[in-house]
Amino acid sequence: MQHAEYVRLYPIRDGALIVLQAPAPFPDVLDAFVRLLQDEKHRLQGVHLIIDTGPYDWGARELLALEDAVNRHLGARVLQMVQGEAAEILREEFGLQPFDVEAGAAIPPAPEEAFAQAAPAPATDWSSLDRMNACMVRRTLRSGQRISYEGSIVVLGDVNAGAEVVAGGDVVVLGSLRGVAHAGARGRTDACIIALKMAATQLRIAHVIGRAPDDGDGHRDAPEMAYVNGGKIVVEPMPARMDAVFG
Amino acid sequence: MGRGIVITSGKGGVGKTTTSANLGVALARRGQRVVLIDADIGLRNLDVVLGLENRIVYDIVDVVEGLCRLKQALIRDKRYENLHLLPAAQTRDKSALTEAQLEALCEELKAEFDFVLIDSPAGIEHGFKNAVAGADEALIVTTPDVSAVRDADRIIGLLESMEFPAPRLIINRFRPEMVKKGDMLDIDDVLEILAIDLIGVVPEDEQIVVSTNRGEPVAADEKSSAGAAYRNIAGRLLGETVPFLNLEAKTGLLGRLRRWFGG
Repeated sequence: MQHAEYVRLYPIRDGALIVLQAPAPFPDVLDAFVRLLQDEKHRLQGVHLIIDTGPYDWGARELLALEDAVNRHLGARVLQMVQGEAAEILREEFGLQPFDVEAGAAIPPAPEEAFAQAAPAPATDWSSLDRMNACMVRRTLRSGQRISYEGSIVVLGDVNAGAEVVAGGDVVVLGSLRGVAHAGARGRTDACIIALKMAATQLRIAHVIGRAPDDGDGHRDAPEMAYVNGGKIVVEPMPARMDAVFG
Repeated sequence: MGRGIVITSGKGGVGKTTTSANLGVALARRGQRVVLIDADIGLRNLDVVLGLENRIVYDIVDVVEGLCRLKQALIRDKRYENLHLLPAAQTRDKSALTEAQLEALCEELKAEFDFVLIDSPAGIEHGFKNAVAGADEALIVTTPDVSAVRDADRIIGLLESMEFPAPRLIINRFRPEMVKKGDMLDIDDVLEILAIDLIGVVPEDEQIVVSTNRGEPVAADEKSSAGAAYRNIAGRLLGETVPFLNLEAKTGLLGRLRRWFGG
């Protein structure tokens, strides 16, 4: 790989370290950087990236160009840019001897096994409820408070009337749900809302809205689940087998 | 160093001013040095409830704007010499004070008094924020109905996010006969939603209407059940363990007669 002259890639715990080396005109370094990103794209998806810009005197324009390259080739993410700290990181991770970047000395290559071990963190997959992340809320939500999250939300407490829970995935309330819950807020009609005591002001799943029947409540003291059936929200006691509902 | 206690509710008309006045009187009767601050600028009522409206010369806005000294604005109660009132301004509105000003005022008063009780206005905006600025503790007043409880929950949430110590609850205008019939929320229903410690339950009492109009708080009236409840709350504020009043509808002959005749 030609880019090895200007850029080196080291997998480290939870991420990857890219070291820019050799005093060279920035356009050359940037070229090598982009080629590295393209070559190692599969390894770099979703991982935490640290870029060591070395001791070179680059300004905002150069750094922004690097960031832009990452965004274009790997997708938008938060980058960590350090300067001249590669020696520290490499020593901690691999026990490599500190090297003298200033003198332009060659940076030792990363041990081969390191690449084999490092597996990139899976990118967040919002397409499937099965693999969706969940956010834990360990308190009661009071009137006027609102929690929203792209994945599923679990509340260890009550959701009081006037409070709102908005989730891209499911909503699980391990307490009384008296406020408004919106599951599948990004359009998943197969999301569900579960509560130990279902007494919601209003239930919403994707674009479907439901409320308790006007003629008095069927409030039960057992846990219940709300889901969409035939275009309407139905509320039933927790099924003995979840797969009977969701197949 | 005195204690700064804000009496608030969110909902209007649930009894904050009545509670402030009566707790002030009840604590004063116990020998505490109490100052009541009316933080409801523009809609002042605390002076009316205490019967002191014709003694107001200066008010809290005058103090803050430097027109008078704090001592000149304080009004001593008619009946209890250790109870004072710092009235609100009626011709201004809530933008006349800042949180910092109220906090400084309360600090000054805490040096002279055992209790600084702040009567908060309804709402969650500027007036409420001013009122809580000088307080270290909060008492939430609610009536046992869903709208008041909803607003109280909001206020408790706001106080929690301001990192106030846990507020305590006063359930006001409680009517045991209605609770028995299922027409009114019971104490447990309210506590299940609000989940804070209860410091008192004040029964509905016609005497309150009379006492407000006359400017004579019921806490001074031995015969009033609401007055007794307020005196008990004062005791609890002083750290005593006071059993809650038995608010069950009277079951004596008179009670039975009332029920037979649909009373």
